Amino acid sequence: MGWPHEGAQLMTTVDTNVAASAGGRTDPRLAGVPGEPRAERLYRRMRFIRRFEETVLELFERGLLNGTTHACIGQEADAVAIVEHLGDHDHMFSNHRCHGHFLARTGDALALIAEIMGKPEGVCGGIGGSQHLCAPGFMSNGVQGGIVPNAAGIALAKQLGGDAGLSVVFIGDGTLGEGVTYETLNVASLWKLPLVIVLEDNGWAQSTPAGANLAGSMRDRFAAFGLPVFEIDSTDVEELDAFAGRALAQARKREGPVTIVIHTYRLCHHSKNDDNRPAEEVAARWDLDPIEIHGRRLGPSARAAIDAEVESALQEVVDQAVAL
Amino acid sequence: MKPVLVPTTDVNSETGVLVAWYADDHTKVEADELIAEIETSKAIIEVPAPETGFLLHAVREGAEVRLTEPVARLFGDAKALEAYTEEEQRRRTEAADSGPRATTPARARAEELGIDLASIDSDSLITVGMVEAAASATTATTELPDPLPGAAGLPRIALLGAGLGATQVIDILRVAGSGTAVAVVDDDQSRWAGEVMGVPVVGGFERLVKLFGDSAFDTAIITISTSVPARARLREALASNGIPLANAIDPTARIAGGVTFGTGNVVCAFCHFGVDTVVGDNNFVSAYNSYDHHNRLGSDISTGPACATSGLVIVGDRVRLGTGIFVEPYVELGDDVEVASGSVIVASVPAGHVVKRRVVTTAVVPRR
Amino acid sequence: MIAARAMGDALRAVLNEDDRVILLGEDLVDPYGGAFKVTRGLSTEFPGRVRSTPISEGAIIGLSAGLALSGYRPIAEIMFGDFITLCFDQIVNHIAKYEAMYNGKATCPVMIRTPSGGGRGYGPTHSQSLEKHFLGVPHLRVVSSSLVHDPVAVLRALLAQNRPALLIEHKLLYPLHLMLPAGGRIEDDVAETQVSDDGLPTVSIRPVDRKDCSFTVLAYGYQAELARRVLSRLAVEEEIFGELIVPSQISPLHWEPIDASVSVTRRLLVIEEGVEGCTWGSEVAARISARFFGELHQPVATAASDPTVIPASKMLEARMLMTPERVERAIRKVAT
Repeated sequence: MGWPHEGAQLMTTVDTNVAASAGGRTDPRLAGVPGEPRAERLYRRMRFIRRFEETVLELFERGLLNGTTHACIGQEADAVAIVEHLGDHDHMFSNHRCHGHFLARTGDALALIAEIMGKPEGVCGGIGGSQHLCAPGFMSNGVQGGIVPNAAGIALAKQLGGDAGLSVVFIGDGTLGEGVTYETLNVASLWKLPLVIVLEDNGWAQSTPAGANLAGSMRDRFAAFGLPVFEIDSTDVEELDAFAGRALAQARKREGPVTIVIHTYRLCHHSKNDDNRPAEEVAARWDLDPIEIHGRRLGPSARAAIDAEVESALQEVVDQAVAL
Repeated sequence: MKPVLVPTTDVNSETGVLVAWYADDHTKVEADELIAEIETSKAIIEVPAPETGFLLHAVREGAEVRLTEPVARLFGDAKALEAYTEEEQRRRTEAADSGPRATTPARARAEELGIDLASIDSDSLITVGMVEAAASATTATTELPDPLPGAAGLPRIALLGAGLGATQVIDILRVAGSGTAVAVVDDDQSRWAGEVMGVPVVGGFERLVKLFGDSAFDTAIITISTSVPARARLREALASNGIPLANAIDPTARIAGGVTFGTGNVVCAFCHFGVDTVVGDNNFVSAYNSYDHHNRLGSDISTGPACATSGLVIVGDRVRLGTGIFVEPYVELGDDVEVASGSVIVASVPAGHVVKRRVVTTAVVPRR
Repeated sequence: MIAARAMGDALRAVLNEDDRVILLGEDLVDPYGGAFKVTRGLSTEFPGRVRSTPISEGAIIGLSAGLALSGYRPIAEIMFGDFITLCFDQIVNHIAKYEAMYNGKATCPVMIRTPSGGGRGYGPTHSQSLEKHFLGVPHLRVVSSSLVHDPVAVLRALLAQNRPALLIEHKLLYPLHLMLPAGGRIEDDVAETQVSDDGLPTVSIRPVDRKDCSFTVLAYGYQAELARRVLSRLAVEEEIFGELIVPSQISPLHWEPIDASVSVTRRLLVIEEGVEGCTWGSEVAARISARFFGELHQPVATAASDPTVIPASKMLEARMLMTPERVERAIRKVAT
């Protein structure tokens, strides 16, 4: 055996992976029933993510999960809206708060829960855990900003290889503190890479409000590199859906990177039980819960039916995962 | 031939890299034409041709150059350039054909032992060990002669060194009658089994020690005349083997009253030692040397012919005198001093110093 | 052929052989062709595959990671090894981790080349040998070019594996001619090459048979060349015989050739240009001491530069850096 421990312990696993739209383990009750109306589809997919995150947090509290996790409760509409306009050729690179993005992309709740449980059947055999996921068309890593040049490199690969896809990277307001982000914006703009930066500004970087973190204007940072900025302040998935469609259509012209800034809010704590934001602020934002805003559009029975389907589908997943 | 140096005022860089040649090797260039580019840690320097001429590159592209050395040479005509290149080539091949690969100590030892390096069969570096192995291999096959029996009543003397010094000592002993030379030893194996004036060369130092152990001789004299280090080294070697030295003093020498000699001294014809002069050990004094009264000589000294000192002179250990040297009274020559032939010494010389003499030529001019 | 040109040719060869190879770095394109001219001609010959980047080490390496994740084989150049610190996060937290933390579902075979080392009086931030900070990063190979290894063979071996590698090129080697073993010799010394399972060579150089060598010297890159010259001279002039082992991959090490030598000579000196304190030599010493406990004639000796900044003044630099004089002193010490 060499030093350092070369080629050590890459566990062989059951192939838990599933192509983004290749069917397989994607449960239509969670990922969307073919043929259902768009409004219901959007609701179902957001509900899936919300219930998944709440379930994970609950499992943590019950002691069935350990480690750390970063739930995206309140931001479900962003993932769902963006993914509506992505296809097989596109790649998504997400950050530490990646469950919503992962589930919107792959629909594979079982693999994700198993991963967070640290089981061999997990997305990465339990090695990556909540923040470090790899599936076809999807990757995530937990170091702020570091993924941005990686995503740009994937965009460059698409450009070099003549691949028509986009490379989409998800960052937060806090990520704007990291230098490598700006290095990447510069190069990506210079080289007109097919990169889409989706900035989910939820107003807080862990415990620090954006006002204490960011000087100057958020959109001007991107404009400074000559990048078009599509900006919206909304938690309404239908607004976001139309908005994402426009932004991504621009990106597909392949005239260079495109920035999407979504002002949203994280309704849960940063990771677990570390929320000391002002209670009134948080409470006020619950009024803008994306699930509520959109769910109200569905008829109460349609909504309840979807809720029930999501519930039972997720319960099956949890039971399966626990049994692994 | 004009050397082309890098025009730089950069005192911080000793070297640069020759980044590019702009003029090909062996071509004609005009004065001021840009011929090369050098990169130092500070800058890229352009090198123009200092004059018109035929260019010979001195370094390859990409090589590191010392800024004090020429990067190229310019010749008046193509023929001069070719001649220079041929000469360089010749010198290089000569250096390459320097024979078999051996370490420096091995080469020295091979010379001492008379071994031809080419005779050692080895495709890797030849070491001292291999040379000595080759030496003992050859000795094993040669029959070494025995010493002479000597004459009754006279000490049997072994001589160290089979060169010309031995001929002097053998001659002195024959007329002095103070002992008989029965054997000669030398580390040069090519001399073994030979003879010097009828005295057999019986082997090397190892053989000498063995013969002494067998009582084949009584005392020894070191006959090496000019090398002071060799004399000193051999005296120590003899002492550590318990082998006593003997003196060989030519009968024509005039030894005054009160003079004392140590052992191992060789004194050649017509020398003079003045009243109360004291002489140490193992000194080789050539013919016509005069040490005036009350001199003190140390040990391991070697002198050429016709050296003369005045009274009260002190000569230290391991002093080497050339020929024709005069020394004024009260002078002290310190240990390890060397004096050039023809010197006249009027003041003491500190130990470890060398006395040099400027040669003055004689000019022939027409009479006015 | 000088090492800079040989590396340029090696890059040309792999660019020709493997469509996936892309070169990224600062000032690479023609006519400049790289700060040390290694890539001269390549951007013209391979348009679009050799790119100059802005001065953004993090982004250069981060983009390379993305390219590698997408199946390309990027070879990034960091202009001076001193600047590799700017890439530390990308190398350690991204490139070296992706394959393992993704349980083998992705590979990130980025190759990073960087000119390193002192001796030109370039000062504290342009002269360092920082590779020691990357030793022992799991899943990262650290390789050093040397005059005795064929750069084409090394590049091909690295490309044959899907693993990330950091390739250190000492800048003082660039203008020197390669001295590859030919007919089992390098100049007048015996030279033996052993190749590891993944194709990386280690060259053993000795003036006489191994059994006649009284000590082993382990070194790489420029220090290996300095050691080679000293050992060659000491052999001829003073019959001090030492065997020199020059690995191409310095981490993880191919131990067989080292063990084979030390088991005979029982004395080891490890030389490197990086500064003293938690060095390559410390690691080798720990492992060799454990392996040969009780059999060594003396503790494993290590020689490194002094633990301080590298002064710009050449005279002061020579006092703290591993120079030919210090190499000789270290070798003489282990030889007695």
